[in-house]
Amino acid sequence: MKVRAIVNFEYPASLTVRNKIREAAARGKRVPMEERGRIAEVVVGEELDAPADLVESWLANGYVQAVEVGNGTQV
Amino acid sequence: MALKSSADVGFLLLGGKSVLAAPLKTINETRERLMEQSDGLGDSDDKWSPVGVGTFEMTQEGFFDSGTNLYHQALEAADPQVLMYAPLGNVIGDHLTGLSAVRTSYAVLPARGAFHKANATYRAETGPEKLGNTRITAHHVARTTAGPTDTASYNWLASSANGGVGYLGVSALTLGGYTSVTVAIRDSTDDITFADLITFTAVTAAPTAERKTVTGTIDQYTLTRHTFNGAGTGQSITFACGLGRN
Repeated sequence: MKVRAIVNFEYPASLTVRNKIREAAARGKRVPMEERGRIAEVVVGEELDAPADLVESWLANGYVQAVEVGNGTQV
Repeated sequence: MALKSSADVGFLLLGGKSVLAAPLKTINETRERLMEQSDGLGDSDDKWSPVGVGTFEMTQEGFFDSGTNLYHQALEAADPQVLMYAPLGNVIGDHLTGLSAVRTSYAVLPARGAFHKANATYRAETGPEKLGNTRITAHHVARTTAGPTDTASYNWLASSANGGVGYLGVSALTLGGYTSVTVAIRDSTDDITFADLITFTAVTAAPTAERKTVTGTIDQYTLTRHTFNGAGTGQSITFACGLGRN
């Protein structure tokens, strides 16, 4: 989904790392910051294709808003 | 049982000045809820009711040390200054006492055949936040990377909705050609996507300290980021950060 950033934020660019963080969290563990690989930076106003595993939480937490809805209508 | 001793005291920063090494001998931190006697005629026992007002007082006893940015200079300051005190350890997630404190009394005590001692008492101008809700988000240590560099994240186990207060205490700084250092507390709902929560005023000199409030939701995970701005070499910043959630 195409989204537009409302705030500045960052996330680990690698899906593998993100899954590793989720698995660790499920066990009550943490993945050290130095093992999180490249961190993708997103600045306010930037449009990007949101990773499928993150888009719901980004929308729910107000990090981004959707740019296209279903048939491509601009909002 | 998890007993703590004097060796566990992590740091005490007064306006950014690190004064534990004075050395301090005793820190006495007292939090009190004011009560008023509320029984009346005919009551057979006394009753006490909380007025809804809390008081805070901290006393310190140590050796008089007139060195630059040490105990004497820290205690001499009469204006309110940010006080950060880690009684249980210098680890991310450990308890922190943070407040804007006014030093109300300062006694220098020379005595025959002994080192001079210096005692002080502080009361709160603003704060502190509840002890259990205030944690170290960056432990007090020298950091030499130009950054952006993140500390380990801390899991608060749940988000909170009523804002909070961030604390930054910088005890030493070598810019090495850089113009300033930006320190920020960031938060995240999932330990994956982090956004700035509190960005402190860019630091250009040490010692310094800042107390900054934030409103609204604070997410479950937090970390602290420092970034040297500009260009240079041989940089170093020694700071601690804390967050108190309302």
